[in-house]
Amino acid sequence: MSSSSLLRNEIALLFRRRRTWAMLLALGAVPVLMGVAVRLTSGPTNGHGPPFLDQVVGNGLFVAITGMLVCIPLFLPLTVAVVAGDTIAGEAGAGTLRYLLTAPVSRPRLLGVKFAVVAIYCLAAAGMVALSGLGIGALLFPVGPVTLLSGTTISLGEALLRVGMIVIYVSVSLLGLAAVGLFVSTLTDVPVGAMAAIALLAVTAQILGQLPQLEWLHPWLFTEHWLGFADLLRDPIRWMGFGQNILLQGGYLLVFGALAYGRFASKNVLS
Amino acid sequence: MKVAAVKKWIPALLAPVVVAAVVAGASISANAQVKLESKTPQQVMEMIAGSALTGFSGEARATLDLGLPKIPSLGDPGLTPPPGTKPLDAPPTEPPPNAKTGTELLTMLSSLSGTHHARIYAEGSDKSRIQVLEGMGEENFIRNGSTLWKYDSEANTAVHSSLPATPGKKHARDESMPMSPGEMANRFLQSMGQDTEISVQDSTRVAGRDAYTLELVPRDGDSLIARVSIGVDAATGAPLEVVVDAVGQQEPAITMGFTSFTPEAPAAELFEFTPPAGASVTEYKLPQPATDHRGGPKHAKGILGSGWESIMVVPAKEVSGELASQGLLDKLSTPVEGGRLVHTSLLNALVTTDGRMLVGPVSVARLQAAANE
Repeated sequence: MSSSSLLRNEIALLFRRRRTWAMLLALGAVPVLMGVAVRLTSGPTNGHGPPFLDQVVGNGLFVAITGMLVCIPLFLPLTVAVVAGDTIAGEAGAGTLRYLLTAPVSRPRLLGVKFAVVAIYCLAAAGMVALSGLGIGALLFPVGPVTLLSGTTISLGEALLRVGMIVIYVSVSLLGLAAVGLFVSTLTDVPVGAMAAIALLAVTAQILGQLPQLEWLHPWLFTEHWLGFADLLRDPIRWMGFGQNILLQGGYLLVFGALAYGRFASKNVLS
Repeated sequence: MKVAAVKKWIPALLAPVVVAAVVAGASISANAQVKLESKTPQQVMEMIAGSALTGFSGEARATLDLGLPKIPSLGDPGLTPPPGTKPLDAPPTEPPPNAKTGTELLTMLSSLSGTHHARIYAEGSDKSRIQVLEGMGEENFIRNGSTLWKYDSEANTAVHSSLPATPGKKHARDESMPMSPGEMANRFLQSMGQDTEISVQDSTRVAGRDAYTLELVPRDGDSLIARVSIGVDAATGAPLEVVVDAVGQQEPAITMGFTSFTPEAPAAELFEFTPPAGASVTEYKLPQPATDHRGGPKHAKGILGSGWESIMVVPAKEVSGELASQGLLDKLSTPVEGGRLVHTSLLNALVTTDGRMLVGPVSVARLQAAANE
């Protein structure tokens, strides 16, 4: 089986699962809930609540941005943990791993395909939050030109482009977690255990990121740039943060990808 | 484990090594010893003065560490500072004239402690834009000729003001705008006075650029400033970094420098600002500059001494009631002869028993002596 057909199979498998859609719908529900709540109460929030929430009333586009802001600390990593934790452990637990490997698929290639599937899920999940936010925002609120953090106003089309960039930024931000998850998934045959461990790591990393005593550690945490997509809402765009984020996530991908290979390639797949 | 199995782990061992090598390589090239044509302090100072650089874009980082406690009881001034405060730094040698009360000064210093990031753009002498980057917000200070705009994204407020035209002179610097590393360096160079030992230390790299290090050391033993190091761009003569060390503190009290620097003017529209629709716009009238014919602010009323030992005296009636009425003062200060002392690594403030306040980057003894004069 060629890599591309294997990848196509795996993607189809992911999106055929009811669980995947349940997670995506739950993610999409977050901006909807927020939009409806703001619409119903529709009063000045006096700066309480997440940033940008004040601006939702004036511009529905901000539902997408606020939704992303609310989802990135917990909901998005949680669902990524489920998908990443399932990659190898799920196959091993269900006993399908050896069938996959009896087909002429090398283990590193299978690992690569599994990671690609998680990466595609990250993009789908972030895209879901943005699309649902844009949809509900357009439905309930006026939509128009957007004021950036620097006070510059950009056209609706340009603003949609920025939302698209935020989706890519958030997807890239989750790749480090995906790589860690892939490695954790090779460690066990119990997918639920792997999922829980990955979700725990995501939360722990964020707690460590809050402690000022561990400032030396912060640049090394895969969660460090998760909220950095604000840089895309500045004028001019601050690309430096995006670049640092890509380097950081790439480092995690390298280290944990290699670890996952070490573990998976030397693993005894009997069951 | 079999040899074949061990081999599979080789990439896992190599990957961290690769990452470590890349990180180490980057930091070595960033901190590499630079060999530059040697220059005398005079030549480096002439380089700064004669810098032909008219425009630049860059990102700067400022870290203030005065050993001050955070003062949460005073609200969070970091979010919505009044138009008169300086969000990026406060020059220790010249306390801002608009910090009328001691509380304001202390609150400001406390809220400024920590690390701040800003993007700085400049073209010519009268166009500049400073963007103070906060997590999900941004504060913009835009100067275009005599027009000043301040925009706060979190509050969605825009403040407009005009610099008074001073005939025959260039527009004054707006005191409410945060300082760039270059402006801070110039301020030290202008106010240091005669009693300064100036030397050129080993060259460094600042923002990836080769830089001379100009070191200013106060000769006066009463100063709390141990030394001021200024990193001067070898190519353009622009000051890129200022590091202020305080006496008896290991970490620098102030570090302010560019992390990236491009010696080219940015797009002209960056200096044009129109308040966005929906923002609340207010007009702020800048206080008229003191028309003191005798000279600059150093000789203005309330400032004793000059150079490294400038002391600001706040008369009793201007010291805020809140501070004078103990409470807060008790928490922050220790009793000393002649009043109570608020000590930071770079700045001492003495509130005398008769209610005056003396602030300066000098020893307690010097403040006490000044109070008794």
